[in-house]
Amino acid sequence: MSVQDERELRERLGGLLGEIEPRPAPVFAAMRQGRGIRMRRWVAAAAGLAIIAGGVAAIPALFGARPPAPATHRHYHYTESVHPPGKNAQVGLISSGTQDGHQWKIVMSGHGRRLSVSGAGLTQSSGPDLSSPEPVSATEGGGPGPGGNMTYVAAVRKDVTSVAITLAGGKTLNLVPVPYQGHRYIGVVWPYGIPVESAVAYHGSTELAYSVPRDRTWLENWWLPGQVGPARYTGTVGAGVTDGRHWRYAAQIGPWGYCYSLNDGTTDCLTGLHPVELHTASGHISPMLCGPFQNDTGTEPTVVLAAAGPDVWRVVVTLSDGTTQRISTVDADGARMLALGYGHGLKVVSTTEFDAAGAVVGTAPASTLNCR
Amino acid sequence: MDASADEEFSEFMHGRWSQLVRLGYGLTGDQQLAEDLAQTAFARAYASWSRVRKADDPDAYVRRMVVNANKNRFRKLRVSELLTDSLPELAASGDSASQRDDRAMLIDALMRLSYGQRAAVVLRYWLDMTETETAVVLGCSVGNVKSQAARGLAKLRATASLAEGGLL
Repeated sequence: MSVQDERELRERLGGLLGEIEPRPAPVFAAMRQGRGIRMRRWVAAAAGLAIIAGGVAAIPALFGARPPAPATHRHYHYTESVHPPGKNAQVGLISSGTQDGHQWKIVMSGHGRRLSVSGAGLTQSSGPDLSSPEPVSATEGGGPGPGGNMTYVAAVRKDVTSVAITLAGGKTLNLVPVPYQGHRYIGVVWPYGIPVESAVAYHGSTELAYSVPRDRTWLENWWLPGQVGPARYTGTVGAGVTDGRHWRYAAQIGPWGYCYSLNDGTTDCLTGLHPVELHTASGHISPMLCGPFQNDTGTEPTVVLAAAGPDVWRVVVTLSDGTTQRISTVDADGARMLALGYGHGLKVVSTTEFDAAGAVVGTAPASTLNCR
Repeated sequence: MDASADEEFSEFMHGRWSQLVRLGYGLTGDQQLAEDLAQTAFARAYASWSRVRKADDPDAYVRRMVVNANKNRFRKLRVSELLTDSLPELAASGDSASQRDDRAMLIDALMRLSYGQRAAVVLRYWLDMTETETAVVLGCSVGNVKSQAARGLAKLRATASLAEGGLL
């Protein structure tokens, strides 16, 4: 490559890049989001201390195996209102309201893949998943933290005429879908820390779907009337120390859905899907969640959560540095699952799956457990 | 965090916001997503501000966060990306049609590079970072940066549409 090539490339790329005009720096939104990250770290640390201090007895309560105390035992002080946009409202306004005297509003902008949301407390601006068949398909929002907000924005199916979210203390927020760019949306802001008692989607007065909030906060899945989410199950799928980092994947399954938490503070939930639906053949492995462990130091290990075939009891993974890992699968609510951690810069070269008797039942291509 | 630290962070973010959005744009080809990545990086920097402000090179720190935030996009199974032959429609920003075509062609070619090649090309040739600085941000060796950048450039040059369009 000649210097002239480099110069030419710099000029061309630099010229095109210079045309990008970012929006003004969202300093306050970043600060709010950062406070939320700090708060989650604090909660995770406090939870760890609770386990150490309380021993095994503390674990079921921590993960919600025991039902939380009824809301009537506590008093929640807040004021909350939500209003649909008026006739002459700005384009894209989904809703507005007040929370403890502070005004908020949620506005959609853009279209197609560039759809975005802005609003009070909203720290993630990608639009809802429009391909979801669920009655209500939420985008992640919210900037939870002391004094922060929960922001909930969702696309709703055409047959949904209203969504009612009831907060602890009895306040019900009735949300009417607002059309924008060919889809219909709801949005609302409420004080973080106020538990959600129920969430129901209606067509007229007919209930279409309901959601059971995870940790009494997060609306993950919507179920049909009469349909019941999975039974409560919490347990560790896998844990280890990789690149000096302790990681642990835990299943947090319950009426809210199938959720999996990593000890970096992230929780991912499958949309109404049981892990056994992810694999189609015996002796098979299906990665579910895959990515670098979140930290700020830069040398993140990769952590993978995977579902395994019903006959897979052990997996031997060979990494690009020639080392191997022997991983036992665990039964998590009827699905055999495993978690794997490997160091920064390494890749999975091959895997071999064994059944309970030690017989080989399958091999997976090298790319199966690599994140990209 | 006290008010002076907030002020310091605000100044830091204002000064680097555009550059990080451009880095994100080079990695994703999507300005909206790039702004999300940059905001996420700054939020994480704010969460660890006491450590970031003392880092030898805070700029490298937040650039690395953008690169990592982009990797983390692939974490969620429910958020799927559909690769298509055509690019999403670009926002109208007063650009001429030929400017938009050139940008789309170049971004399209960049998106066809492997992630490592793309990141190396963007950091080296868009942000004019040295090979050593690029290696720090990507968390790899200088030799790896050299090979990734060279392969990326070779692929870009081999892209017929770029050659025909006189872009390279």
